[in-house]
Amino acid sequence: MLFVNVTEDMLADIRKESYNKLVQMPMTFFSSRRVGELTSRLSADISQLQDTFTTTIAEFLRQFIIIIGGIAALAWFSPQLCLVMMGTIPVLAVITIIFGRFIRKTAKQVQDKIAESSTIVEETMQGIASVKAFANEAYEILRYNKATNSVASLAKKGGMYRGAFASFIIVGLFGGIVFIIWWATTLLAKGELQVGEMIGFMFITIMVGASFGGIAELYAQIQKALGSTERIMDLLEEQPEALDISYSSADEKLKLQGEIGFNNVHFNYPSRPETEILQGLSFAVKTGEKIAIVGPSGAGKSTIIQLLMRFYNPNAGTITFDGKDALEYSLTSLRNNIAIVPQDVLLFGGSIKENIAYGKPGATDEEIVEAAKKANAHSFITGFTEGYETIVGDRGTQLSGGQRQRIAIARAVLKNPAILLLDEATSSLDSESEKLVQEALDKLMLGRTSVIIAHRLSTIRDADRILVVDKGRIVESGSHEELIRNTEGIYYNLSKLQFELTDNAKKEFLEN
Amino acid sequence: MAARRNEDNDLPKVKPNKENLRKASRIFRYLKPYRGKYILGLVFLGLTAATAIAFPMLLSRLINASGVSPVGGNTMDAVQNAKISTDELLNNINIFGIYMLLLFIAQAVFSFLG
Repeated sequence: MLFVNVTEDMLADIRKESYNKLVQMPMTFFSSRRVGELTSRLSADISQLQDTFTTTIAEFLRQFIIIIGGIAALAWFSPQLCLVMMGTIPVLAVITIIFGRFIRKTAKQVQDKIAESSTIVEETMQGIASVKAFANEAYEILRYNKATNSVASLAKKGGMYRGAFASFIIVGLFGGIVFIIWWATTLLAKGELQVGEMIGFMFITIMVGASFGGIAELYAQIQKALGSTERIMDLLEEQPEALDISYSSADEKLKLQGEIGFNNVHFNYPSRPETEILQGLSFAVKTGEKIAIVGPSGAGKSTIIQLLMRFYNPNAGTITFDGKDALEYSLTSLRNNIAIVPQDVLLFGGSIKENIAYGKPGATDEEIVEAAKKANAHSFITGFTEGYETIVGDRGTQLSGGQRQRIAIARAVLKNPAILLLDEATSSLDSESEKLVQEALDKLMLGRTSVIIAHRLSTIRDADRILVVDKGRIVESGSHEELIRNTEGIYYNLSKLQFELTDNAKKEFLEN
Repeated sequence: MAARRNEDNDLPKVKPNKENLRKASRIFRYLKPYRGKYILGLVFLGLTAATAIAFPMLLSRLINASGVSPVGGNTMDAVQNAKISTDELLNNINIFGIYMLLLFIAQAVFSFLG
């Protein structure tokens, strides 16, 4: 009970701290790892640790004490018999363990072979056309026969080992016990041992034998626990992002004006050091300006957003906010001033209300409804029977892309940031919902510095300035009217590409 | 044995060496706030193990108390040979019986606390 108490307290501490660490890790940490794998292994590691501290360590010590104490008691009963016992039971126990492990290994090999042979079936069935085209039926049959035969022979071998194991248990283990009883009765007959001692001796022998077996099992557990502990310590000792999550700092809020500057920024993702995404990118955004960034995919548009959020820091050059280097702001207060409406909006499991309030924890119901109205989300939310209490996310109502976007916009409205980043959805919404989203965005952008990553050029014509990014540099800059006139330019060609499909749209586009 | 619960998980085994043992031992720093309780737990664990061993030893005394002699024979022989009364003999047996009962109670308590 004490062990469980202590361990649960300790594990709660470790869980909390590792989650703390995980959440505060910089983006570089996540981009260089597979997150799903990371978290599932972490929880496996922690439950391994739980077993280790509640049972493994305790069991190990208990077995150890029983072996030492048991042997001492045996020697006290009869030194001679003790020596005989020591020569047989532990040896047999260890052989049993090793034998058992060997059998398990063979069983696993059989499983692997079976999997192998079913892969052959799967492959040939999927590629049956190729098999037939190459007239390779005979070859495949031969291949499968071989695999099947090896399964059968391995399984037979396994069966033989299992049989041998059972026989060994009968002969070896019980034989060993009988051998000791036989020795003990001889001593009894000679009057060198009393009946009570003999019975006590047998009991302890069984206990000690079991403990020897148990300790061998526990050793495997300890080896696993060692690996788990190492990985947990790796995470716990990892350097987190320089966040300021203390509550006091949230009160004395820094309010940015919304001026942004990129000065000769060079950047590559840590996971891909060979490709420099941004190669000396420079631009400036004035307070309240609406900037659209366009360019071919892979040009570095999304990277700009990531750098603005300071998910990463530039390798060279500076990013400034209100003329001050971004590095001089605390990450938390900087991000408090920026809202992002991402391409794909993730809703957390919970009510719509909670999801909107994510933009400003502690927001009142009135504020939430107000934000939803501004985001053109109020009418569809009240359309649900449960209204703002409707549960969304994996286990709740599935919202459409446009609805999710409007929730994200409502979040941003609540956050009321100086700077707004929009990563326009690549997949187009239906025209009705696109209109609603666009309208909501227009309202949201009013009076804020906005940076829009545009994939569809039709939505950005009213931007104050359009920056065309190619190969990590700004190659063109100006309003739609200015850029479209340069028929040699990337912008013109991008536009042409996008509107070639529908002549009408093209006409409309050029007229505007 | 609950320790076997995780036996079949896929976590890799690690051969203990100086470096990884030192690293893993830093986990004990999370045990620190609860050190006292953990040590107490270890004490109870030791007592549980000790009572487990004490059981066969007391058992042997109980059986001997019945007076079964090494060369066979039964209680009545013992009464005649050792020249003690049957009452005395039964009394001895009862005493060891009670000791054993107490031992089990103690073991149960230690095991619960540990």
